[in-house]
Amino acid sequence: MTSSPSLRGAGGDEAIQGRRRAWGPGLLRFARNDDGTRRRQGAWRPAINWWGVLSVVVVLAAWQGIARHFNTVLFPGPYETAIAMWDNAGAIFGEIGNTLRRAFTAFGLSLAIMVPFGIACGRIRPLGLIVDPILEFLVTIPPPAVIPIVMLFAGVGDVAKIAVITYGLVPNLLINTIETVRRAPPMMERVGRSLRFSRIEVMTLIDLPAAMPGIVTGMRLSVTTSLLVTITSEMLLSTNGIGAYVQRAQQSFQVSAGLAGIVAIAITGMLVNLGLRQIEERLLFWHYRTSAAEE
Amino acid sequence: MSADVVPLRTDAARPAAPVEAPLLAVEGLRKSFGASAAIEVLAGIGFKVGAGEFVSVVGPSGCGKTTLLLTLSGLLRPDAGDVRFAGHSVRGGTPAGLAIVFQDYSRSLFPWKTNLGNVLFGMRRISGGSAAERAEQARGLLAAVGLSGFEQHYPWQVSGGMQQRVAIARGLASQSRLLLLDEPLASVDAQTRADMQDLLLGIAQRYGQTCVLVTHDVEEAVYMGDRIVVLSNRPTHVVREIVVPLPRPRDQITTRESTDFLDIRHEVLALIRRERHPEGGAGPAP
Amino acid sequence: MIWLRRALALAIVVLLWQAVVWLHVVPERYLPSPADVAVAAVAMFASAEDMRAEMLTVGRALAGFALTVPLGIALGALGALVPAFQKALRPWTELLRPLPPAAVIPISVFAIGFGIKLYLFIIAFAGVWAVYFNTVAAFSGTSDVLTRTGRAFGCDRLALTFGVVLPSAMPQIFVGIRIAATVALIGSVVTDIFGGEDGLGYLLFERAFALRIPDVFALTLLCGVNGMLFNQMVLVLRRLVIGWHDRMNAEALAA
Repeated sequence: MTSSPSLRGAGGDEAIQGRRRAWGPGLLRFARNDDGTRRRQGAWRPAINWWGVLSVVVVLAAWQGIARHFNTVLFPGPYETAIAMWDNAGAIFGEIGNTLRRAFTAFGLSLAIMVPFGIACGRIRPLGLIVDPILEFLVTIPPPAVIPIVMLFAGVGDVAKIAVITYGLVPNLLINTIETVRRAPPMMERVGRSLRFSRIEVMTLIDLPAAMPGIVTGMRLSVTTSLLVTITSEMLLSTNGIGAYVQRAQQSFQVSAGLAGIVAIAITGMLVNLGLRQIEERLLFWHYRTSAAEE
Repeated sequence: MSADVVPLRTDAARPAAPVEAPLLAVEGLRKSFGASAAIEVLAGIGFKVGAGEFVSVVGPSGCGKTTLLLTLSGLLRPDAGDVRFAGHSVRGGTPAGLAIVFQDYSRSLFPWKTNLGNVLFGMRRISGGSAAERAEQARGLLAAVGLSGFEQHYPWQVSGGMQQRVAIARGLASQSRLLLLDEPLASVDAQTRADMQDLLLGIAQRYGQTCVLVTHDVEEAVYMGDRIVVLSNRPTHVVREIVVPLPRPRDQITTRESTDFLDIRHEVLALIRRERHPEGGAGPAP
Repeated sequence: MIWLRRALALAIVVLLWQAVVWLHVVPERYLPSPADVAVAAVAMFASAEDMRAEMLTVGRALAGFALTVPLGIALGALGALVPAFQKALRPWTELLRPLPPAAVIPISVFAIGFGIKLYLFIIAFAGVWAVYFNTVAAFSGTSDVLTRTGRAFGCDRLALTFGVVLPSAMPQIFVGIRIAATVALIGSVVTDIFGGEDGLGYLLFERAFALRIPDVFALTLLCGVNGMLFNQMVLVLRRLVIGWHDRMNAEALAA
């Protein structure tokens, strides 16, 4: 047949376009055409999001205009915020470091506890039957609401914050893991039994890799959540960390310094998300390839 | 490629005489995709369909059938050429009086509407009539395709063959003067397929419905059509038009056994094979 | 069956809890017995002050939710239909989405003051993205076959959007709506804590600092009950709006 592979089939016009993949922060994107085969990938080409640039310029100008109009330290404009960022760069960097260290410690700890526990709950039926309703109720209590109780047991130190963050990650990590293990095709477990695997071997050699896509998805959501919960609990329970910094600045009416901290949080969050998306795409490329083929 | 490469074997397959005052007139239709390395899909297609005719359009797989259909219905703009329905160009979008039954019936029915609701959707361009009258009419159409009692079911609650009947009833509901059928029976099982062919023919005859059936299935094209438009490989153009002089009503057993049927089938198959292997049957190109 | 399991789970949790109390692992001052908490919970439901706080927190969350969902769908629809709008919004979505609502409360107070406006702003700020992204994805993912069918039967752009695209996008939009409901409750409690003078969040910390520990436990449990109520509300909404979708999936699973 003379038709090229990508053109076969009824959907003609869509197939010709290929799949366009893009990544990058909001204003600058790197894009390439990708029809799923390694051979045909084009080079990453940068493209500037002019509409984004325009909207950023317009919003910043409007903000500056309003700030100029009110002319008060309680409502700083972008210029004043930038100055504050520059002046406090050392402090802000240090506090972001504290926050990230805390967030990733809690994240790693949660990962170490919840993935094995999730696999066990997914695989051992009686355990899952009991744990399910408990989780079902637990996830309805927002993390900030458990802070007072945690405060009673663990005070206001790092242990308390890590406990709150770990709690905040239950839905993403634990529930995601349990669900993926349960959805794994039963054939895989039968293979394990036919090889006379012990229960532990089934869980580590079969369930863990099979649950990987769900776990990685849960991980990506969790990193963002842990950052969010870390900052929130720092605002209540801490003397350091970017959350505490923002809280302190605003309580002492240094609004521009507080805004500078918020901008730093936003940029950190964006960079973390961007990095994670890259890692996820690399780790789970097989997952994306197969689902692309099913389209 | 010249249009007359295969000599006619019998009198049964005659070249088509020009259609007077056509309902659908397709002229010099061209369409390419892609900006830099443009791929020409339609390379000047032209044919006409007269009122009351049942025309089958058949071609080798990958011949741009979907593109042709979307262009015929005004959902896709051609690069050149025109499609005129009842004397007016379809460039402004699907004109009233032209209905499509898509190949992908299971996905073209609205899953949030009942079967009756889906048929009623087909009437949205018909003005007049109370809600009750419309519902009555829609029930009648569902009955005509053999779906009495399934009005309140959802499409996903009935079998594939039944879903296709709902799609056909919806097409008929628009009181269309022309029904475009996009390989409507491609994904139903063989027996259902035969039943549906006869159902379609019966409906076409009863309502005097003009139909254009686009298909890859040569036997179906011959069995259903008054006339067959044979398409080339991509870039696609019309290779030949053949009149099918088989008597109506047609019959799954006797029609398919008749010499005329077999001769026309032979002829169309030969044309299509020639299209698929242009180098005199040397096998698939790399 | 599920209720039996829930009761069993509850019994096990209460037993473990009681065991920890009996064994004096934690000073009883900090870990009240289940019975103490139950007494506190009964008192809480009888207390006019506590119930007022509950009404305020739930009411504000509901109001915020009612604002967030249509806003998110409208923005998402605009983003899907007008690519320039989506592009213009992209830098803002990427910067604002990772911000914790708690961090923007003080700055919002300077800009818009206290009261219901602050609650609405914080809840919408925290929850609108989930609805927005799901709406954009759902609108863009509408099957070509459906839109072509709509156009072939004479839908103009408006009829196509409301009659074909929106209904077919609704199941995915509900993924965002569900998140928005959870976030609305969180936003309401967090605003109580950081920028309020009443409501459950405020009460929680007031009681914690007064060391009325059983009350703290009871109030925390009440937050969980509110979460369950909101989940039920979303389920009912779901059944009303996209009941067809759930029944279709159930059918597909049974087959």
